[in-house]
Amino acid sequence: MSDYILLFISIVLVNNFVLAKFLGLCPFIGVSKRISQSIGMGAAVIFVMTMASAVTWVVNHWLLAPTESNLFFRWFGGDVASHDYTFLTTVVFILVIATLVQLVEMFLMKVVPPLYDALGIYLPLITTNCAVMGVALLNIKDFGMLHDPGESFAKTVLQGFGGGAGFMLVILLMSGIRERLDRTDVPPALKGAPIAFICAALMALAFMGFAGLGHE
Amino acid sequence: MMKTFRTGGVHPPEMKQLSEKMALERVEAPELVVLPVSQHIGAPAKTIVAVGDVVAKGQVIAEANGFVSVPVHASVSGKVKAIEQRTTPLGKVCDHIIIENDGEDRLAEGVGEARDVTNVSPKQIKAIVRDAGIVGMGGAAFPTHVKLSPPDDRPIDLVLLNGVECEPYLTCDHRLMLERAGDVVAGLRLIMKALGVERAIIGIEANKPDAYEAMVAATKDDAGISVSLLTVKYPQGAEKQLIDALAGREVPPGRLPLDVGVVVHNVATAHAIFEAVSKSMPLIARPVTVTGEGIERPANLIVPLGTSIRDLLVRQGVSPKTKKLILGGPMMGIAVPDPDIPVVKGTSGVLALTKIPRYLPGPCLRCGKCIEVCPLRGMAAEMVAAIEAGEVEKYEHLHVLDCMECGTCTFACPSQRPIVHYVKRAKAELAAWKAEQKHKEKT
Amino acid sequence: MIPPRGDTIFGFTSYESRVTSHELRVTSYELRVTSHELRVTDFMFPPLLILGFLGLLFGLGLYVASRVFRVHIDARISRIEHALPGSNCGACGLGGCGALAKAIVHGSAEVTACIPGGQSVADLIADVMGVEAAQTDKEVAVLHCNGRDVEDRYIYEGVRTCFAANLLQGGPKLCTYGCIGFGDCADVCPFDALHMVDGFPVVDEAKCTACGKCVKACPKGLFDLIPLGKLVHVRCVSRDKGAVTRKACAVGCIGCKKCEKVCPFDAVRIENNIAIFDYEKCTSCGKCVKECPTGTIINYRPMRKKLGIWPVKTVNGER
Repeated sequence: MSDYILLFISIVLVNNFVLAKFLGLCPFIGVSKRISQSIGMGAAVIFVMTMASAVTWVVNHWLLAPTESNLFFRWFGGDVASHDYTFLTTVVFILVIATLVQLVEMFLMKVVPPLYDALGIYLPLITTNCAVMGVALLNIKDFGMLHDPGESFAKTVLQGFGGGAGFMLVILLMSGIRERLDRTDVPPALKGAPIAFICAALMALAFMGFAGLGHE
Repeated sequence: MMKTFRTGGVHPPEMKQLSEKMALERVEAPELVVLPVSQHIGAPAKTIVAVGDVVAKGQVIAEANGFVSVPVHASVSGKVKAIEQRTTPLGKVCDHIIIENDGEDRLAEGVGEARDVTNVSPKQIKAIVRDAGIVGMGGAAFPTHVKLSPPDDRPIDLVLLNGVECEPYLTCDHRLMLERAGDVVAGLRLIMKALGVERAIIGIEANKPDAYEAMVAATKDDAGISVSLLTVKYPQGAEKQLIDALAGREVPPGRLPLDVGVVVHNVATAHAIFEAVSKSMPLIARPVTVTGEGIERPANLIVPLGTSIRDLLVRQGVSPKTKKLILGGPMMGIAVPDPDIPVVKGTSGVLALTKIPRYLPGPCLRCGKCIEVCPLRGMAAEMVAAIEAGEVEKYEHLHVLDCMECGTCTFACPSQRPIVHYVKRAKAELAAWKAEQKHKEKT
Repeated sequence: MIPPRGDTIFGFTSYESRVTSHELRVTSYELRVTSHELRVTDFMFPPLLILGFLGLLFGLGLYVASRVFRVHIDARISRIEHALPGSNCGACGLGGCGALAKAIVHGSAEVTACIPGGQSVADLIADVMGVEAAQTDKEVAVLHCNGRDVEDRYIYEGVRTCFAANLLQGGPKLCTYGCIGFGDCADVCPFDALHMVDGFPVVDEAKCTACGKCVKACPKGLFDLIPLGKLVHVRCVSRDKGAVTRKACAVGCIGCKKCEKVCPFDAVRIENNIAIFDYEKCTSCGKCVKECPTGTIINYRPMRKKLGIWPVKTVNGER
């Protein structure tokens, strides 16, 4: 159990996608102007990351990875190592993520149109959000070779969810800061995105402090 | 231990020594009175006299226009000289009826007739109070008959009489309780009768021990009425704070005292109710404290409504060093640029101040002092930040509308920021924004 | 990624295929590599299957989802949105360009509703909607006050915006109708067309798009949107009596009625001590300008000529 808790804390704080790995910065800067918007964005990313992790694990486990549960190995037999289709990883994962984002987009357009309008271009851009792709690839690297498929799947989904949660955490923090920044006297040259980047950098520095969490 | 309200509050210098020893004095009617038809909260009264009409003292010159509205009576006898559109000190534009005093002091029919106080029904009391044009005389000027007619689904079990007078400088309520304790208590009994309530508490701050003694003496035969001495703290005279201090009940944001079963009336209002019921005298004069360092002879006066502030200043002598004129108390009153404005039903004091502190608003220090002292637990610093950024959609969530503008935060701010002024502006902005939203929804 | 099985992996040496009319059947696909035999199925067939299967699955899933979450969107909305300037100034009275586009398609706004966009945008939108756009006159914001040197009647210490100052007895200026001078109008102008010059607003008519933000922002209501072709304006709104106005302001309208008398078109009236123009009748002849004793009525012709915004230039030379 402690394994899972550690994994979650690690992906949310220590290895936070935005502030430690610098992935997914586009929506992080683009949609962090208002807290209400960033909650929507965070929720969308959590959904996409969790679902993407789950689906990509299934795809990887049954179709791509050279393991004994590979369907092609079962059907055609032969050498396990010969059924290695991992060279398809990138293209297949993009397919999965794009589908999921499309789903979210349709859902939001129907159910919460104001949020759909507010997220604007950043919503379809989750497709190319490297944080989502990153989490999917990282999952395979970290847990793809685990012997117990159950454990592998659970950890994968947890890492996906944790990655989304970490994204939500920092985008919420950032939007809180930016709402306050709106009210302060920022030098004109730094208004808007520049001061936001400076804040993001300072936050990243602060998040580096979490790196020490593991060693004690 | 003396009672007080629970959260916030400040102790501004009291400055009551200037006028607290001065007995109430009746001011002779001036040559000319100016009576705005809107002296209360609610719909302005409707003018029913024309230029050239001869009116008697106490005659109705503008009648109530709806339930939350009261009539206006002539405070002198004479001829209507003009009816002009002018701006009241509160910024409302309305008819101002100008009457030239003929000096005859003719009373209108029925005015001044004695009535047996013990023999009036609650319904009669309400009708008399409405027809006498009585409003809350603590400053807000809310029509009193409305407060005497609570809806049936909200039972009232307690009446509070507000003798706190927490504003610095002002002393007219103090003198009224001291000199006319019997009348004030009789007025309170009428209020209790009109509401059908058995219990009442009179709240007086500890800096008026003589008034406390007088009220205790006047109520000693009455088991239903108690007198309570309160710790001196501003803004104890505010309705919600007084309810908290005396009854220990908290009125939720956006609700009224009657939601917690309480009605609060001012001592001057009780006095006016007694005058109206026992002597059929409509509200045509009110106690006013004329004080401040700029006044040579500070005094507590009973002034006919419509008398100009200039007349009062001339009567009591005004020093040329006067820098600021304030209607009401220094905390909640309004500064006025010129003295040619009339005393109205809500005018509790006229202050002439010679020393104005240097006023240089700085940036917010985020010290949180304003939040600490806010009696309503408002987030004043947050409000001002949002107001400065123009984030209108957040105002309501920050309870801008619940602010009573008591000025405690502005008083406490070490950076001298005009917090109340920001909030006043925000309220106006919010109203405009809401109207716009409504308009948008329609199209 | 692909495990090396020989010297050349894609080194097909021979293959045979027979194509029948309806199906592609690969009868024997043999790959000869120097060391051993390898069948194409090993590395070509599964990828095709994987991608094809997943593509089909997700495609079907999305198809079903799109039926479930179907939202009807009029294609004209996005076309109109593209035609609009996109500055979200709010001159149309709606939330932004997107909101206006929706309103136009739903019929609750006119095709000419975008004021800053002017005729060209109106034409584009009319094209999308398949209607004829009415000719719109270009307008500019005109400030109806000229009281630069009005004294204060009290010392104002509050929040330094006109809106807040106006709440306190109508502002600190002696003239309670005129400009307070804290620049609320300049603050809201999204086109940099309004500047405070020595504490008094000046409209840069070359930049003004008549979006109407200043009209809304001014608590005294001193701005009006008036067609550019109208060149003569009263720079005062004071309804005080002449003597009162004169005491407060040297250039205020005193209601002397000289303009009313001299106007050959009956376009000026004095109402409540203030000259009011009927722009329908006014021909901007400028006779009243010469008569006005206080210089309240001002001819904008020279200024607009200098700026080159009058006479109005149009593409096809028509006025």
